[in-house]
Amino acid sequence: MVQKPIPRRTVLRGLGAALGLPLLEAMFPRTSLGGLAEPVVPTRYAFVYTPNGYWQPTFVPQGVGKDWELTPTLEPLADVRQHVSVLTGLDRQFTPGTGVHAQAGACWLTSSPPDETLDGGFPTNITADQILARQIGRDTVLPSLELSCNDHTDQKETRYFESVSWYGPGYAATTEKNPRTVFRRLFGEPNGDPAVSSVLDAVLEDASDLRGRLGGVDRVKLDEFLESVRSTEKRIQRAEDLARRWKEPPMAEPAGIPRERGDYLRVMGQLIAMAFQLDVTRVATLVVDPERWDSPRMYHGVFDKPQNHHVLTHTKEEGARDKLALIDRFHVAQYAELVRLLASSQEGSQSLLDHSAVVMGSGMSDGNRHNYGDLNVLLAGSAGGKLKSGEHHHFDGDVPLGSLWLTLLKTAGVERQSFADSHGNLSSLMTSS
Amino acid sequence: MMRFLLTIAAIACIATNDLTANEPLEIVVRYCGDCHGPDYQEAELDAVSAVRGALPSHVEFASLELMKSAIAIQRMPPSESETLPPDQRARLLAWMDERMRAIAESQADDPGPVVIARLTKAEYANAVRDLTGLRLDAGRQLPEDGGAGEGFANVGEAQSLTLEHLEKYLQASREIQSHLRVSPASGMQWSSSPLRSVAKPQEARQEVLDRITHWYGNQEVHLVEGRDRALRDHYGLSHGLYLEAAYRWQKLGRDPEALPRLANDYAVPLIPASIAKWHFTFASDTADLPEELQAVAKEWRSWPADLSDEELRSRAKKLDKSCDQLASAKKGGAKQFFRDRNRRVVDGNDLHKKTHFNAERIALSDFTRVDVRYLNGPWPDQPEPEDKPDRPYFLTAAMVREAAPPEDRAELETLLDELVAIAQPAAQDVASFRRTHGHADSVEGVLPTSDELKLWDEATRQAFEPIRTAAEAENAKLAQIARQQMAAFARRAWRRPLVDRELDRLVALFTDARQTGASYDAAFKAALHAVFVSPAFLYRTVLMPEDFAKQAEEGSETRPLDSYELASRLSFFLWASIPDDELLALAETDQLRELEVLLAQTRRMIRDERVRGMAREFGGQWLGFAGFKDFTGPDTERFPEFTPSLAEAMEQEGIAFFEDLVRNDRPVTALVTANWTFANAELANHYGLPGITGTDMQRVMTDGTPRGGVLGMGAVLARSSEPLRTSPVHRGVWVLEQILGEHLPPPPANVQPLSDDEVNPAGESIVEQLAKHRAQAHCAVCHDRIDPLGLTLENFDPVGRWRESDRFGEPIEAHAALKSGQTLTGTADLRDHLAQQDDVIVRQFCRKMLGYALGRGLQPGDSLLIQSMQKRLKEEDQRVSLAVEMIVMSPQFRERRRTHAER
Repeated sequence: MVQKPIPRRTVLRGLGAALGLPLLEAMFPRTSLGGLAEPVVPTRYAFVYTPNGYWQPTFVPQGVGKDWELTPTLEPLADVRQHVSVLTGLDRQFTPGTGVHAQAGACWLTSSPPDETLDGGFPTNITADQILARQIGRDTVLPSLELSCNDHTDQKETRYFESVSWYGPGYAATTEKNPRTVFRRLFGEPNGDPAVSSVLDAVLEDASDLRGRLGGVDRVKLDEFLESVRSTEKRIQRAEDLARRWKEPPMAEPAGIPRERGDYLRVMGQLIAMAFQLDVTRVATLVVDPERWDSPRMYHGVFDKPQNHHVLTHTKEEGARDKLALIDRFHVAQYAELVRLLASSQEGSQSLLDHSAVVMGSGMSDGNRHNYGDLNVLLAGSAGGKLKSGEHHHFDGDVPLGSLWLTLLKTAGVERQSFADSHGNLSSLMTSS
Repeated sequence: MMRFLLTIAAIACIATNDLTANEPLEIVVRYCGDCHGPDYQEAELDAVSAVRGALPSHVEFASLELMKSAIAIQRMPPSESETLPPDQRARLLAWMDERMRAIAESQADDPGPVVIARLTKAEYANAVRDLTGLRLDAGRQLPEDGGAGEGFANVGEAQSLTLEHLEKYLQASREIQSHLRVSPASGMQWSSSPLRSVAKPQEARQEVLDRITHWYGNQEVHLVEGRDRALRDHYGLSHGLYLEAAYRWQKLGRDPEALPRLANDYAVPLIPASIAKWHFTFASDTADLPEELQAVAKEWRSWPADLSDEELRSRAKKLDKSCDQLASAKKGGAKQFFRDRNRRVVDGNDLHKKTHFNAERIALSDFTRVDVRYLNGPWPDQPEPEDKPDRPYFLTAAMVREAAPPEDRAELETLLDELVAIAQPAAQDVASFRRTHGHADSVEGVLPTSDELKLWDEATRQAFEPIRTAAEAENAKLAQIARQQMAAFARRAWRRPLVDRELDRLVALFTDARQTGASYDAAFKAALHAVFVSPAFLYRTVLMPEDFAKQAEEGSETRPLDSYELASRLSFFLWASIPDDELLALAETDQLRELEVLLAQTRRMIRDERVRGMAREFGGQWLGFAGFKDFTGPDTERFPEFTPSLAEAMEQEGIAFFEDLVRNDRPVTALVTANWTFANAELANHYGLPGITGTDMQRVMTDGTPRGGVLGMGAVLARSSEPLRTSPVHRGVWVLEQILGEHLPPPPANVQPLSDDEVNPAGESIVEQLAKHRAQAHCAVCHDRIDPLGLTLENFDPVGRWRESDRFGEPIEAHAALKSGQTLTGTADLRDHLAQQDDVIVRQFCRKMLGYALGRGLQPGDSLLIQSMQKRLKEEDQRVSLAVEMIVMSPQFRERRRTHAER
């Protein structure tokens, strides 16, 4: 006989406390003999995207293996370095025909080989995060979470800049930019009205009916709608199950988009951490900023004036490089904070970070030359003991970035022979087990 | 698309067979290939493959167009490269012309690949506005739309519809419905403020009853005007039960939340507010009361705190009587009257004596309770006794009604009809029958299950049968009414009639909800939810069920739009919203497809105020003022005057200007040459235009000022600036790309950025930094064309104000030398310079408008339509309406490609 576990909500009080809390034994089902059943802890994946590459000289560390030195840009990782691996020398290829910046972000996680131009010249087949969501997100309230810290609402760039997460060719995930809205999606009331399910059934029938006369792309477009309806039905069901476990939301509702850049990125990180901890979702992407977004932006506490990240990458004067390094460092510091948050959150005998893989990277290495080769990636967490941590791996020669995604997919149990232009795992990242 | 493809293949064949046709390729390989070949595509252009015919025809066409524009003005090949000899250039240009014409002609009139599009955020809000008559800004929680095609959000090909959209559609639908009350009698009524939900039939009826009571209350105010107000106020409440209830409320600690419950404790529910009023009247200082009531109040206050129920009732009765006596002795008393199903007014006291008395039924449906205050007047059944003029008179409900003004009476009649329509007496009978046969908690509207029926004996079942039959008939009748109301509304929302199958689905949602005891309103909304979340509503493209499909003509690759499809395409083009009743009626009779009718409708619609939708969506997305109210570019410390209300006014300026351009059929070139704009007081003050007051946008003549047209608009000038300084580059690019329709390549790598503020550390101004920049040949290629245009606008600061000098007091030099050697000084020269290129501006306007109208990027075949539009506009004063009409009449607009499913 399995005893009913205590709803986790009853022990959570506010974010700070919540993430410090150990996962109580009682949360795992007990066997009738009184022993703890082996908990099946899911693995979570987060992908943080920063635009326009990194200033290489202050980023790439000397030394490989465990003996890598913290560079100025990576310094904020000092107290979590045992959890973070630095990957350098991974490569992608640019496909001529579309913008070099747009492709950098939109195709960072793509499963398309570079020559698979499915979507107006873009190789935007389903991205790694969405493959993960299909594999491990089926039973959570949200299969995946797509966030962005670009609060500009200008229409000046296309969705290729705004989203790193794609359901399929031409079908970008919508990024959510307001922490408050994210909060409500994660922890708010489920769609409530019990009649909604039957409404959605009727709507599904409408849509299926209307497909008849449509062909080709039209039909694919309407299928996006059908897919959304089906996911919503599932989501309502799961949210209701989950809501039964909570009496109140697990953290205070954010008021909106914070004024300061650091606070903005931090609260998005907190939302991801909280969603992971409560198993509302297992896959998240966060676009720190879109590629080539030429609106200057304040980096509070770093500069006293707004900076244009993209323009700086193409600026030769010395000061510009220092500024780039500071922006990179700022983003690394934000990443370190997310890693720290996950590391300090107990889950069973381990930490939440031990059951996660948290990636940060960019679709270019040197933003000035738009170099798609020699990419830098930070990778934290051991994905349930499957990944090594705390090492610098440098990959010589042509090693596709896709191999990293293939490796991460493998840790989630996705069996694929190839991914984009890769046909193999990065075995050096994996533990022998 | 076989026809188009075959023709292209044929052309390619001819070209390769012709020996001389190799010359263009040789020229391009030699002079362009290093930078614009398949391996290295500078500016994303592969000229070699384009000329080789190795690209899809629309890419080839666009590439040739781009090459032609650059080669014709000798911008390419660049000066540092090998020079293209003039004779070869001429032959190449002629070849390209011919090639482009051939491609265009092979695809002329092709409606092109138009992918079904969902409503944009703005279209969603507009559609809901036109459906409800309310400005709810519905769907504001939806994600922002991106732009594609010719730069517009309405391009289906580039739109996504995600899980998040759907969540927000559901939210928006709920929000919209909170403004709605539906009844079988009055249909759908929208209210600007959100309404309470009335989930159960009882709640729905109570709402109507409250309104009826309120109606009488209001009437009384008119009737007693100038009478003895004090007495009315107090005696009006006089009733033994109120004395009793007030006492009990005191014991409950005067908790306001306890009032409704308390009021419902009585066979005939009391009015909660009256209990409170009665309490406060008597509990307060008696000195304020009329003399004859003081004794009563004193008595009431003297009651001990622990009276038993019986004791309380008897004391209250006694005191009530003394009240009545007092009142009668003085001027009259208060009575309650009820209005029964047959609309007879019944005295409340008589009612209590009736044998079939059933408190709940009286309260809920059989009777409308009316508190009738006494007034000087005769008893209803007795003529006024002439001999006793002092005798107290009573006024019945009927008399109040008779005395009411006709419009008020009509309102009451409507309310009574509504009450009757939702009374559902048969359902109430079922509920009360079940209650007396073992189901204490029976819910109105729910029929007994077969298990429950088995528990009854035969006699009971037989007694129930007629009740059930009546309830089923009643339900069927209501469902029928719901069906009609739903069909009418969904037809407007979906912009086409519904087929029975679709309507059945909606009505099934209604009846399902009804069977669980939902009110008519709540059940209707369950179905309405499906109307608002259906793809038939959410997609701008009208999605027709197969039932409507016409027999395909053999072999044709295009088909004319159905009338309904056409109506929607027209209304979304001109109004960014759904068709109105007139359009739908013409679609229903299929007259809309007649060209004269279509033209007449187009002319009617562009004079309608809803054309504002086009002004904001088409004009605003093109020129950049859409959404400017949320623009936060300028540095707030440097420019504290750039407030949200100013930004809002700047957006409104653009919308009003463009709306005026279309509605009043002005020439296209007025965009740059207009000597007017629109402003309210705040914006006029910002611009330094005198004599404008108020917050409304007004048309202002701008002769003698730098304003007028888009070049003087704050939204345009501020959006093309940096936070701390102007950007002649952004402004120049804006003029070149948006007004003149040129395609500029993205900036190359390794550009030296300009300073963030007006000067760099070396003390050089932006103008000086730009001059240095242009001294580099590879920058000059583009910047020689970009910068002069922007520099002429230097007198406008980063928030669009006029300035004579910069922050350091240096005079602004808005001079610029064009490559032609011509010098422009200031905005006036720029206007003249652009006005001379009116053909180019008209072409750009037509291209943009066609792209917006069709919801796709332009295709080679469209260039012929654009050419004929240019020609007609040139002949006829460049009137905007002409461009609109020619687009509407074009095959591109009136037809669509057939899908495989339709062949």
